[in-house]
Amino acid sequence: MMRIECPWCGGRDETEFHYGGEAHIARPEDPDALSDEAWADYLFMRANPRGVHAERWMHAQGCRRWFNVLRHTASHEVVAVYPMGAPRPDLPETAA
Amino acid sequence: MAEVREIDGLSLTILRGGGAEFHTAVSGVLDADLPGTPNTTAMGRALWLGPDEWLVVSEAELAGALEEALEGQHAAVVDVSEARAVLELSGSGATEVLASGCRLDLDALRPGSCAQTALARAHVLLEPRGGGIWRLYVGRSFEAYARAWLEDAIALQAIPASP
Repeated sequence: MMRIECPWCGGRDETEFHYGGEAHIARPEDPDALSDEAWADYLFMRANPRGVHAERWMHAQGCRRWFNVLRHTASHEVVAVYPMGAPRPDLPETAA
Repeated sequence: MAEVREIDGLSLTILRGGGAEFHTAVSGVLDADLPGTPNTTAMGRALWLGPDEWLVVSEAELAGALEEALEGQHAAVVDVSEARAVLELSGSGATEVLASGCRLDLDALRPGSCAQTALARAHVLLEPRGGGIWRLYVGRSFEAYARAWLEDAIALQAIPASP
């Protein structure tokens, strides 16, 4: 069980949230111009790191707002929480 | 012993919008300012649901007056009186009954605050009314479930712990 800090409601249990996949994946401006490979890359290929991962979460059983989270995929440590549309923050020295 | 009952006849309105003009217009109708701090209420009359969303609770229907005051603005007024059920949990041990199905620190919720969370998996809006009385706003389709769960939890509480 993870505790996630909702930017609005504060710390809540993971079960109140909905996971939205990897963050910062921009839809291509002109999908028709893409090769099949590039389109498949946009649709299916994800980072899947062992380490800090930028992902989207939504507080489904709370304020129902989307936001971004930096989470360590091995320790589940939530390193940072930041708004939708904001760039991925630089990591603090201690986290990796 | 705690008890649960339904509160009938309240008018519930979801209000969405933002900006100075919006707040001025709404304050004029409600006779209170919409709470800007997350998870707080304006004297129980308007409950914070999101950064641009509130639940207005009133005896009389207000949706019409709000719509009129907000005419021409980018705002939403939706009457959800029939879509939500309002339950009241009161009596001795009411907070303990609630705590057995809710993960929030209920002692930290004071009158004037509110919180959306899960009660035994159902989405619920909690409003402490003081004196161990809780108001629960649940979706109408969750009413039977929430009520049955609460009654069950009250019954369980009445069973003495084995020696």
